[in-house]
Amino acid sequence: MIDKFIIQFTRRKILNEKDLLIVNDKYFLVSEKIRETINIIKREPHLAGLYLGRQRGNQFFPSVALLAILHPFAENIITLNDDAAFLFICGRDIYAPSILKMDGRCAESSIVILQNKNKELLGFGKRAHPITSQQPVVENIFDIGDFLRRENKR
Amino acid sequence: MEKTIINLHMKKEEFLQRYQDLGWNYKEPRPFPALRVNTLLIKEEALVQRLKEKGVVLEKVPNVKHGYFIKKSPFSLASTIEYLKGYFFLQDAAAQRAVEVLNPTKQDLVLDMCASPGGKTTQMAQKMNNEGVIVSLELKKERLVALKNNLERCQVKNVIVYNINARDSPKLHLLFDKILLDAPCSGNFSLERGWFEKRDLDGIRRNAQLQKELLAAGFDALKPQGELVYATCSLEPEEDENNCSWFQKRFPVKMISFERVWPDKTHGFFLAKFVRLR
Repeated sequence: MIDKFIIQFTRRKILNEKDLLIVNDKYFLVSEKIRETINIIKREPHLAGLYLGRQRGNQFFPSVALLAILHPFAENIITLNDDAAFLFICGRDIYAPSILKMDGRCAESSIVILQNKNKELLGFGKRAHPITSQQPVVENIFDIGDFLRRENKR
Repeated sequence: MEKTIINLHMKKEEFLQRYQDLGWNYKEPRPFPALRVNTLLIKEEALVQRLKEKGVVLEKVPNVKHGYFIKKSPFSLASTIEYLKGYFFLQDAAAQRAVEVLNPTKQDLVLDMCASPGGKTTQMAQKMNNEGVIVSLELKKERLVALKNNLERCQVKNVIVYNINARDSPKLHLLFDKILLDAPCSGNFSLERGWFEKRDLDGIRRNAQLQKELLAAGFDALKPQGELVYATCSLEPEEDENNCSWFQKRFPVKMISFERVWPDKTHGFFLAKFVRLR
């Protein structure tokens, strides 16, 4: 499932299966030392190593850490101006005037990484099919503002 | 039969008298919020410069490696991109001392007995350069959410989290090089409005008993020559010095340092470092 998710961003193999640990529906990137420690403790951990995301049904929900790993290898990257970068991490979609740069084809319906002008990862979205300028160019799927929204949900 | 009634409810003045007996004269504290730069993700100077450009005034915290007092901020720092990127952790300056004193290295196997929300866990990961292993325990399920979010936000890679009672630490079948016991405690008046009205000796003694049980579990999980840092944000001697004396009497450990921080520019804090002798 995680492979299917990654392939939307890059065709390169960026994770080694031997470094993955799956606990229930959650994926983790673990070192040899972490794996050895878990084997000694002989209990199911709640979290281990770097959390990569979780599978729910047929969908995979990535962590910010996984997106950070993908970011340097992503084939489609869109760079946003400051205002749009702020709005994007508030969960908003992206409109054409706020785009500073597009790297890669960024074809319609493709999955794209969004970054700010400092090349810092902001999240990812789906290239839309805008017919008018009032329609978004990128629909927000996930952004790093999710950390705050999670806190507010608690 | 005559009954003896012991009044366990204490007035603010009685608490303050206890603090005076320990050598501190009460003065209204003015604690500044503080942050710790997460050098796993950004260079310290780079973050300080970025925040300065946004109008944030920082002042270096003495005796803490990457800590800064936030003297002024035009906005909530927890809603900035720098926070969301995990470039810093909002953490009281005095609380940052516990990990400085434990000083875990990347060679260590570390036990973090009461981990959530993860301020000290992420600080240890930073000290260990995301290498070695930290086993973090958290009993309360609802507190695991904050721990998970902070580990993810700060991109910590060397932690294993278990949802178990820290009193069961010896059942992990491991002996640790270093242990942090940041124990559940009564807190203190600088952290909580109306603290004096809510607390009494009975509650303080109950917490002290729990802390003793955690110290005993920590001892059983510690390697000979291993080090344990015991920390609380309580100012009450039952939870601090008295527990340290009890620990040294009951177990082959030696206290090698301790710090009691009274509320002032920081919140109140207590910590003691022990080495297991055999």
